[in-house]
Amino acid sequence: MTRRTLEVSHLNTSFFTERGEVKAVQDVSISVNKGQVVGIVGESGCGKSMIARSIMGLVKKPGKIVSGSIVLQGKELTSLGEKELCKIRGKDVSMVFQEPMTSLNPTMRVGKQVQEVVAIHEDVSREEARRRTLQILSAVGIPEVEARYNAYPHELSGGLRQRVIIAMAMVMKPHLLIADEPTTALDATVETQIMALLKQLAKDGTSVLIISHNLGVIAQLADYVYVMYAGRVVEKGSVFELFDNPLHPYTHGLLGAVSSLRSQTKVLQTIPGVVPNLAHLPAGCSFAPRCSKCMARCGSEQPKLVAVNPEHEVCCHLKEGADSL
Amino acid sequence: MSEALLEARNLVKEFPLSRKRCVHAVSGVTLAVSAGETLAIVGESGCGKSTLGRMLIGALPPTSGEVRFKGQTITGLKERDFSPYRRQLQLVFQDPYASLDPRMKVRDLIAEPLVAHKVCASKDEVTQRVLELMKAVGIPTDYLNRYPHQFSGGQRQRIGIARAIALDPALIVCDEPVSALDVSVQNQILNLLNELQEKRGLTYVFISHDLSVVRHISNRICVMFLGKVMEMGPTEEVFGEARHPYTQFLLDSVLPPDPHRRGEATRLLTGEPPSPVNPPTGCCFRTRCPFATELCAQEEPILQKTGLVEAACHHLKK
Amino acid sequence: MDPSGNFDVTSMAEGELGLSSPSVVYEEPASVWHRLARNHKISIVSIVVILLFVLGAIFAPLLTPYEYDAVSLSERLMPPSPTHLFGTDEVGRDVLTRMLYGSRMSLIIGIVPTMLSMAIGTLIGMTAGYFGGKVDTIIMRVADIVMSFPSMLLAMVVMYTLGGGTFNVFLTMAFVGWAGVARVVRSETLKLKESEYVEAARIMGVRRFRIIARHILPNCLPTIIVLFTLDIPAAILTESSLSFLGMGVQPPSASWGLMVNAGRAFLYHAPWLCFAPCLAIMVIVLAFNYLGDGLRDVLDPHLQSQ
Repeated sequence: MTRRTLEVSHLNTSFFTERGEVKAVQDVSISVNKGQVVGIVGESGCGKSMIARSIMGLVKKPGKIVSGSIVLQGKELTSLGEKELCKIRGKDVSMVFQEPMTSLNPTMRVGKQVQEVVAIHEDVSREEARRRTLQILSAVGIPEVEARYNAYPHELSGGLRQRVIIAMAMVMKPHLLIADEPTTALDATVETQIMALLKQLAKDGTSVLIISHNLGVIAQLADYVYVMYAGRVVEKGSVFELFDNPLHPYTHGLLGAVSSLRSQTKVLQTIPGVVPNLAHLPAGCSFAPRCSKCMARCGSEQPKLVAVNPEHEVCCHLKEGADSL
Repeated sequence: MSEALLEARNLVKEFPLSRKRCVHAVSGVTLAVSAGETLAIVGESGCGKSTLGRMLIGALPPTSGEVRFKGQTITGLKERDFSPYRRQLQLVFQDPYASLDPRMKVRDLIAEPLVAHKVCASKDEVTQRVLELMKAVGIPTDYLNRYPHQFSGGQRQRIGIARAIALDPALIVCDEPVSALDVSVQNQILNLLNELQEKRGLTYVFISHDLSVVRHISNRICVMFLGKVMEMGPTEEVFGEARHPYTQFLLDSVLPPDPHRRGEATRLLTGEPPSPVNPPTGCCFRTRCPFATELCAQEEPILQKTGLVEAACHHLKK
Repeated sequence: MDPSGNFDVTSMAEGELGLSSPSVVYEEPASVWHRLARNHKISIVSIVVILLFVLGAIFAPLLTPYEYDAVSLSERLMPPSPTHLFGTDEVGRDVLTRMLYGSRMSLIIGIVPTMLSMAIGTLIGMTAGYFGGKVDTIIMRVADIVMSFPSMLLAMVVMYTLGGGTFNVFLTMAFVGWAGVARVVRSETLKLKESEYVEAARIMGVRRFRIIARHILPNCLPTIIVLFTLDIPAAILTESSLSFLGMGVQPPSASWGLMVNAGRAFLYHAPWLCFAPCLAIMVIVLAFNYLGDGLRDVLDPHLQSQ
């Protein structure tokens, strides 16, 4: 417990639209230890980005955290006001977004943008802020830092821009870095560079929460993985456990879809059916309508996360029997 | 080699920026596509693959060079003379959200090419054909009167495919048709494309940055970098043993969804991609290539054939 | 959820269709009126206000016992009273009656020339935007010149040379108004021309005029409608100003601008003469502006399914 950076428990985040409550995140618990890389994987609309926004306190109206707690370094975040959250954002917890172009102010030199983060959080001299900026820029692997300091975002390539954004997130040495699809907009050869950088950050002691739809990214980076479907965690486990021995039919389907692409089969494996509308979730297990192993009780009863071993939990009626043994 | 369905000879496309400067999007690409095959064009963003794809179907006039379809030059034709070729060469777009007019119903969207080329005698015949096409791509026919925003990404891509096959084309350029879709849906669309190719004898030019998708779908592969062809050959040959260093890096950067194979991609490509406005002299890859020598800066390598594979590099493994 | 962080209920609600299961939760998108009523209640109020004005204008003779030009020298400058709700003017005409009749002129002048300039501007703007090149350059330079000229002054010059009168007011206002419309429609056309679905139509072999009619115009229409509702109050104001300056509608016809002008001399003794038509102008202008704002929010196709 001592080395826990983030502890999210029973988080519920909903959107209150005219058509009723849309439960984007339901009863999600996540923990991240110091220096650990935790991955959240799921398809679009499964609520994975909303978890990140909830942690950062950036849920937009008409969305709201309904219940649950988010504890960062022993401090409860859900009860904090906007002013206190501002002090924490960028200092204790930072976030890297998917799109490297729109996350930077196009009219400001990139060095100044990084330096501004320092100036906001700490009362330091301009020389000191500049020194730290140059230091972090070279730490994230930007060549010729002195020259790049004065560059505008459009003068940099996508990979360098993403490095600048990571530098901005890391300049205050936060305890937790949340990376929401950090490489999705990048080319494959640049993607591997950015992933090596994230790996290095974790090695240096930063906890990283990485959110991605790409199973390759998760397999390469994460130590522990949460699989999400329709706002819920359906399976979690250490990365080896999860990829070697996927238990939830959805995880099975996802991995099968990706690996059949690599095999010689003519017809690729798919997950049939439809992602449910979050405003009208089916009773019982949300995956039941698409599940090939669906049983009678799946249509009426929401399964609970049960541990199959200390490193692996799954939310499926098929596995609940094993728990009672 | 049998007669090619589509041939490109020395295609060049430059987009002027100002009077003196221009973006060299495609710089001298020569390739041929035979009937019934799938040629994949692979490369990272800005390598000119989409521009090349649009030139191949005559949607974008090349700065120089020509495209031949069944032996006939289709470059530089007037709109009216080009019309018969238009029906033969179609495109599936990357973004299923932007490529469908939000104010048109599905029936009108799919009917659009049929009406434009007046292939049906009556309105009933149009509706009949639209229903057949919807069945062919797996969209329930009772969705006829819906608007695009009522569909998911995968379904929209199906609509886009229905539009592309409506005129029974010979060749379809698929411009990153699955990169905007979720993993499980990607496979549905790839299966559909495969099925349609078999049933209708289609020829595909498949543009993608995703090597695992390309490996699955293509017979031949063409690797591009900065507007030039680096390597071209049968897919399995290229995947088995890449000749060109760039291809090797691309293959290395594929992330296997397997935590046991971590750190396999240890070889990282260094440096920044060169600018297409001001490409390097000689070999355009040399600024990022670990094997680059003096020769690479002076002389541009040409495509050399070794076995079934062509590659453009001074330091080919012999 | 999209990467920009906007929470998009549609993308969450939409599912992927598997071949085996064609059941998608399908919801009919709410109509424009529904969405206006839900998100822009003030627009609905505006529509009611505008309708009241229109009905008042049409049924003016039935709503008032007086004639708009009935002089009654014994009742000059009467303050508001139960018999004359808004009082009487310097020759004893009923102010409310004159306002009702005046609203005919104001509304017609608000709507007809605006429609005219919309039609001209749309046609010109789409031509310039779609065909580009020299045609575009020439058209847009002319539009720039028309727009950079002080419109009031231009209108005054035209009115001065052609003389006052309703028809000339129409012509003048259409002449001043088309340029702004053309500019907006042109930039919209340029944007749409580059859109993927227009490119898709071209690749399918759809002819140019069909593309303009089927893709460009329908997708410009929301912008044009919003522009229309926002230009009407501007036209009403221009008419008022022209009439106020004595260059618009000529007496004894009634128009709000004319009434303000006439009431000016009695501002101290009979403020209602100015106040009543000013109030009418303000209310109708506000109503159209609010309606325009509401429509702008509601007609955006990307928001339609929310």
